[in-house]
Amino acid sequence: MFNEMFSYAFMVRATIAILLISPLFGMVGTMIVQKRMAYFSDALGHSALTGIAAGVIMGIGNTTVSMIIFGICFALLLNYISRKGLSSSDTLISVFASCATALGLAILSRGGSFANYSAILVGDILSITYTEIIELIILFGIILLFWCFSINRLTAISIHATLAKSRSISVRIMEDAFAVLIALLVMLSIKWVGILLINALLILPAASSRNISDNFREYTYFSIIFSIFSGIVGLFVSYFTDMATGPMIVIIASVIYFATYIYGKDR
Amino acid sequence: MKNKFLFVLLLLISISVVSFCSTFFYVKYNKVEVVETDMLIMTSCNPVYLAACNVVGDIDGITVENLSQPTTGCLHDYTLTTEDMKNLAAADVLIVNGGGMEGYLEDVIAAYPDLTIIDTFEAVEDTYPIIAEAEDEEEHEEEHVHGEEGEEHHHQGEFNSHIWMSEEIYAGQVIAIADGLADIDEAHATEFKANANSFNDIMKSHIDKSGLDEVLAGENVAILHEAFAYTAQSLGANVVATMDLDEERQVSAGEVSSFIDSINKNNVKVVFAEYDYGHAMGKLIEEQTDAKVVYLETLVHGTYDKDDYITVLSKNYALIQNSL
Repeated sequence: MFNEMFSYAFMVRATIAILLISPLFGMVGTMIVQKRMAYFSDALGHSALTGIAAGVIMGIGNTTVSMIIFGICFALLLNYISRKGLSSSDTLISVFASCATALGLAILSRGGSFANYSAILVGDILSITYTEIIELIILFGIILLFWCFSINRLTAISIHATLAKSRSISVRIMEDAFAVLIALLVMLSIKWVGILLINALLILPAASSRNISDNFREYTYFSIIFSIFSGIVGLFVSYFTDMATGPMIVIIASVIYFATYIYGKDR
Repeated sequence: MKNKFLFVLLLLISISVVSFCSTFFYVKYNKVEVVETDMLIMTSCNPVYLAACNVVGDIDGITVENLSQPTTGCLHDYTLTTEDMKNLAAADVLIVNGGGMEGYLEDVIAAYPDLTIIDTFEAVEDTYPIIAEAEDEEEHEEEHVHGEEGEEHHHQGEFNSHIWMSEEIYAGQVIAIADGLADIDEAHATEFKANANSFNDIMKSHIDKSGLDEVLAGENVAILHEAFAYTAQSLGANVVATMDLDEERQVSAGEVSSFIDSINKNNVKVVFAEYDYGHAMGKLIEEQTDAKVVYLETLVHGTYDKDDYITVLSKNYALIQNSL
């Protein structure tokens, strides 16, 4: 069974991609859940459409570049306006997300050509190439480095921002850097995971882990384990049942979430 | 503390076992027998599949398979499944409609750089009357054709790629497939070409237009799906208004009113539409104008019967005839 599965180059590439993306989702997801940024990452995912639209308008051949640039600007702008405190952050994010999505849809659907971009809604990890895997390896390295150097500061900020400030931690810089990191992760993996599901993959493993963890170390480790497990089992099931890979991974991650929720509630 | 780790371990093992068992039984009861074949030809869509089947005919050792097709929607937004990727890995050649119809083609080329691809659009675009893709209502009224008057080459995607809906261009696609296959399998080259010519002759004699091309020649028609621009072309009718509807298309009020105005202004008697996405709009048009809306098939889905092309086109023409 497994021999046949790995006799195809596309499955080898998809497995490598899952092994690269899923631990990142598990890791970054913990901080997103901890800092209550689930809506923020969802908004970023939806803004990918506008990033593509911007690329199309400016004639940029590789729309990944325009998506990354737009995603980073979008994330920093959201942080900036949220800090101003003119309105509650969920309202602001909702306004920005809706506006960005509508703008992207309006531009891309002009002349009925949205169908050309609709594949990004569900993603397609099976068609990933080795060059794109190298991009993911670089992203993996960047996020791992950032994580090693900044996890304590980010945790301090997520617990109490004023306390973190008093310990000479630059809250603003760290928050902006983390937002840029989420933007990079979302934009570079959205083509493989899909706009509709990317947030589920970021949130579910971390949320499942939170249900049963007693400290931050357990929280991170469980999240990474759940994320990799969902990715590999989802890929395996989708290969043999001929169903889309992204949704299958989310289904497995959801089962883990409900099981840990019941366990966590009864503890 | 220990219980928690045990719980996680048991949870992951249980999910693995359930996933493995359900997958095992799914595969067992849905297993498709693999046919031993000398040459595996994959096709991207139903019309190309039908053409390839007729070109291959009864030649032993050659199998034609179509990529699994969506049951709804159009081909543009189709994404490849694992089954497709497995089939493509084993395929000797992939025959596509081309012209931007297969959005996943770039991914296939990147994943399988050695796979031979026969692009039928590319083969016919300079010799057959390819219709320019409509940009907006004003431009629809001035739709022009490519190929007839030796226009310079344009990028793919600017042209309406539903070329199989014109039996004249489809005959060209059939020849292109025969030529492409003959280059790959020289031993059967003569048979491929003979089968292609024979199928084209059958098409000519069996597709029943019932004199429609005389009735509609020079008449104004409107369409609710780009594919029917070629139906109109085959019948010699002028397309004066186009509204391309699919599951992702949201039309504006201005577009609808301009479409209705065009129908009234140009005295359109018949509108060609596809039922799934054109039904609601079709009802509105029949309410607002004197035009009849006739629901035709685009051949994107089918029963994979070799004679489907002739049957469906004849049925389409009979439906138009009945609506007049």
